[in-house]
Amino acid sequence: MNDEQNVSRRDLLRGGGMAAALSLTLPPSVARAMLAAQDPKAAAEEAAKAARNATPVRLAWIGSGVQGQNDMKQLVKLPGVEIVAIADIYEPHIEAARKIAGPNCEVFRDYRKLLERKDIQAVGIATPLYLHAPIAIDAMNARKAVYCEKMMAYTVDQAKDMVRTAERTGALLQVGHQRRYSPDYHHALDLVKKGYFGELTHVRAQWNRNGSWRRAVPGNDPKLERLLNWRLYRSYSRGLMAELGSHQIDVTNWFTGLHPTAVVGIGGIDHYKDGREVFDNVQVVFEYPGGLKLCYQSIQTNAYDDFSEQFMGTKGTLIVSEASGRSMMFRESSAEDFEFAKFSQNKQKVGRRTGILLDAGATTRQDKRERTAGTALANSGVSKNNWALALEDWVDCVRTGRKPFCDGRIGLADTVCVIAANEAMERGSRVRLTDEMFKV
Amino acid sequence: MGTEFEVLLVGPDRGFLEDAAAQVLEEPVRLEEQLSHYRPDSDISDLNLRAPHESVRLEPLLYDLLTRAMRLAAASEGAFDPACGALIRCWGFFRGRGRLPEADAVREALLHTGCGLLTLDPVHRSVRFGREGVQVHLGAVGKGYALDCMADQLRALGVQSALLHGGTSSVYALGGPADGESWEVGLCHPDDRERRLGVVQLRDRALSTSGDYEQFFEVEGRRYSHILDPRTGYPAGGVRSATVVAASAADTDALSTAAFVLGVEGTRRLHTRAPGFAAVLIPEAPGGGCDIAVRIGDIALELG
Repeated sequence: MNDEQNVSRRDLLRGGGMAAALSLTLPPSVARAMLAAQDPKAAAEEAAKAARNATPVRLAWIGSGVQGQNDMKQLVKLPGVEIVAIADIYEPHIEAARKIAGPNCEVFRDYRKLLERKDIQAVGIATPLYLHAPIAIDAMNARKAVYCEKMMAYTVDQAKDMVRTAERTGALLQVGHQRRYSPDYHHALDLVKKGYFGELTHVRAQWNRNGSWRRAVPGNDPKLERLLNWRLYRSYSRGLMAELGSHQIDVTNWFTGLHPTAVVGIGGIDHYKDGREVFDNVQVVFEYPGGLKLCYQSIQTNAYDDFSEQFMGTKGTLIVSEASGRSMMFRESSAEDFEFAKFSQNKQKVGRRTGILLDAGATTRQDKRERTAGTALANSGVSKNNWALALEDWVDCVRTGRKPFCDGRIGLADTVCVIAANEAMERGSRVRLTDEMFKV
Repeated sequence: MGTEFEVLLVGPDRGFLEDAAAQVLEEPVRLEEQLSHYRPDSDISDLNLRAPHESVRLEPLLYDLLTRAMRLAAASEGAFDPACGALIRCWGFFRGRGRLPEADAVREALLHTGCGLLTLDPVHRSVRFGREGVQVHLGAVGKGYALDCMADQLRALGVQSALLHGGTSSVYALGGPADGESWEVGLCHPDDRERRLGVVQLRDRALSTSGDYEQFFEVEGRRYSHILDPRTGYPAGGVRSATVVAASAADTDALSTAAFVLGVEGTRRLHTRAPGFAAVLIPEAPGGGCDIAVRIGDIALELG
């Protein structure tokens, strides 16, 4: 990662340093899904072969709330995968999880007892943030492969401990930044790498909602408040920057191949004065090497623009979003060599401007040579979502011993950025991010 | 689901109810991600893409929903059928308002329609299609299923009184309102949506309506409803609207479609075989318009 920082942004986008800075390979699950979208028959033959050879994988899941249940729903679709145990302390979540995992799944109230089961090869963790590191470290020490939801850890020291433990024990550690497994994001990154947008100078990203972010507590029972609304309390949570912003900071780090060097910000508890301890609105600016800025906002009083990342370069703008059909490109009027014609069948009016809907189909048709050469081109017809692909790739790694595409070092870098952003808002001053902070 | 969901919650604590409403309204969004036919990355799109070529393992709750839809298909003798995507495409209802297809195209689509073309493996919870071109389409149960899930969540949160609907055509009444035993749900007149045909009393029950006035297209003055008869391949006729009341909204969603297709006599036969519902049908009068409402089973309906 530190090598990547030495590559200047200019080099990066002119193609010179790209190979060093950006990963040129796709996660195999993503490549397979793209093949299936183009040629379901051939993909089915591959899948059938893989399913015949697939060794059974016995998994456990720790933390079975909403996110844990979503993750488990993706896993139980995979051939050969069985969720044999879950750990949680909240009965309604256990009940819901058992419906997904099946009646034979063993339930633990203490995750350490679950880790004692020798037949469990891998565990997923979707607990409140402050528990990620202790559980992940115990799991890796028990020689389990780990999938840890993002943000990776509550503190930078914990994140570093996780990376060290993974590297010392050789245990697999994948972090849940599922955009890294999105065909659409890989396609968008490919266009960035090809220089379509010129020199990237600014990134704007936001995750805006209109709502309190508070879970309703059954029967309004105050004993359950902190258990269910842990995201609102500082002992367990890092607030909006961690729960939402961390995805988008990671995308910026990924697309630029860089880490920020400084951050400023303003946040506040201004609208939901309900006893919460984390900001209900955050706005921060990160500075990256070479002067690139990331302006980030997450608010809870207006959902306009919901969530996307907007990469602004000297030749054009790229908007990427997990929301289906939201990824767009806009040309700067001064950019004559933008090659708009390639994508022109997908024009769409947004406000007063005409943009181009990102649809990989257009580029695959235009660029057959590249496709046969195996260049990563996303296809909007891919039939699996990012979570499914991230977890499928994790299971693949468990089976093959392959290193994960989104590993602990990526999670650590993201954790450093989020914690620095919160610190900048709390202190009301500029916080510097040194190379040292990203080192293990 | 391309549908707006609304919830009305009753209770003493406004803040709690607002949080509960926001929370349960996430459910249709989550289910849309799983059941949508428009999103290429939904579980249903994945199934339709891959199942002609390989066995596709489903998430257990989706597997259960599909098998439940297949049971309803069997009970309705195919008047409702979740494996009807090929037919929906053929009629241009998938994304557009519809078109009149050639008879050959309808015959071809019928070859790819019907639950009989699905092979289910309950041990692996997997599904395989008998041929290419088969498409599972859970549009006729998805909305109701979402309402059932929302109602379960509200009960778990301790909410005792709520009225929820998806696109107004499917409703779930949880408990009763603050000032009465049961919720009153109006049925609109097929010829005049502003006019109320009658009122149904609901308490811990679901109601769904299928009508020819909801979605249709016209060719040379003839009206073609979006509700297709999977047995003939053509839009169903003879009924202007079919309303079904039962314990589950997923069931009423599917059964109102089935009743619309089956007509009065067919729905009576269905009721004899599977009596867990009640219905009111408005048959088409000879020469158009609405005939007198026909009740099937025990329905708390007051005609206006």
